[in-house]
Amino acid sequence: MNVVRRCVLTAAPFGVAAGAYAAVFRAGHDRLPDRMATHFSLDGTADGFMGRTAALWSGVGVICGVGVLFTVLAAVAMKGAGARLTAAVGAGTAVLIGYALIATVVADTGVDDPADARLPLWHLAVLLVFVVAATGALVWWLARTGPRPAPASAPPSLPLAEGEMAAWTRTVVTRALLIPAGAVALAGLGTLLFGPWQVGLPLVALGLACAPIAAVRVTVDRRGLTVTSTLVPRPRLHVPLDGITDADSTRIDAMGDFGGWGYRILPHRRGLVLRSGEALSVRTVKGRDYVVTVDDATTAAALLNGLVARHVGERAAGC
Amino acid sequence: MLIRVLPGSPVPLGEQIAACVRGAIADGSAAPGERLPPARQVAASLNVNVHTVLRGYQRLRDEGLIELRRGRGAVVTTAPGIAHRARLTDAVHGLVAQARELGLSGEELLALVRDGLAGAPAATAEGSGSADEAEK
Repeated sequence: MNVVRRCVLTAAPFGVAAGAYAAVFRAGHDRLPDRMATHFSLDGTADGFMGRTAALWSGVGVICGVGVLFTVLAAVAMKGAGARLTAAVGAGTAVLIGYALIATVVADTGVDDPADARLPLWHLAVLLVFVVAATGALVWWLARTGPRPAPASAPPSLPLAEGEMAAWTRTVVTRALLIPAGAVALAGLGTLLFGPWQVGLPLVALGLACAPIAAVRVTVDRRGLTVTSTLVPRPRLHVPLDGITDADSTRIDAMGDFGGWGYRILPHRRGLVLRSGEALSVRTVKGRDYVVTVDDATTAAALLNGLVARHVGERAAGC
Repeated sequence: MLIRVLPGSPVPLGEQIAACVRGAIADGSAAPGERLPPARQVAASLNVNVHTVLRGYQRLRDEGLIELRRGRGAVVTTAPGIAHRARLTDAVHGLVAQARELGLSGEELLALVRDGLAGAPAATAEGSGSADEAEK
């Protein structure tokens, strides 16, 4: 999938959403009130209003703005998997925004007083889950890439003596994450104290959720691969030695390979991606890859391969 | 940091752990100010007793390579030239092992070292200063 095709695929759903919105608006223009209901509370009654022309342009503006954002993200992702994820999430987002805006216009059509407009939200939510998921899956399938290239060189292996115990451990501290996470948590706390708690609470939760992965310890030992936060014992990522076939040191690109940073889940590939660059890649017997960005990954991979080889040998001798 | 121990070896496990950490400080893979893995975690990883790991850490503290602080754990000393110091300490351990292999007593080895010191030019403040510069 080249850059142009990828960008077109990402931008297209937003173009369709903007076009559909404008068309529905135009078709119902004569039956729309001058002041439209544009925001609805949870019980489906209107609680936000906007002029008709302003509603049209702000709707188109939101779709185009988010569309440009996703297209830029897809263009920035240099490799396939990340761009694919961006395109799929983008398509789902386009449908979500487009559907919500069109539903608003439909709810407003034919009412004399915009306060009478109704939008049953739970009904909409159920529909969105299916439509958004289906669109995302479709674009995911359309944006598929070829098979991943096989590793060029044989993975490193550290031969271990019988009875020898070995462990490798290293911390990954991401200051680029620690500082924003702290700032967001503090801002949330301030809002919680002096502002609306509905805004403050999610901010505090977001800040606290990011904090544990700002400093993690990666350990390779007789039990397999373990990644824990240095601050709290949970959450932790553990891949038991039994389930590992082999390990290798790879170079990854956060945007291109995983479509971003953090704990990333892709089909057959999961990763704790805190930066681009050297990473430890562990393959399991189920065919899934676990990737952790960490320095000196070659040593870790060599030790893991040595441990796996000895474990397999011991199991064979035991049978 | 890679830690390898062989339970059957005549060298005590704690000393083997200390040697691995010393090596990591010497080659820079454990940087000054870096926190060492908690003794409890190392013990679980290697399937040895926590006290064995702590004995190794205490050995490194006695050598001035790490600092042990209550609640903060073990931290590589931030003093300048710590990697050089780790290499030197490593060499001393190698020297002792070699002497043992040859069947030399402690006194005999010390006598050799003393003779070596007597023959070497006297240490100067500048000498240690240049080592610090090299570290930077």
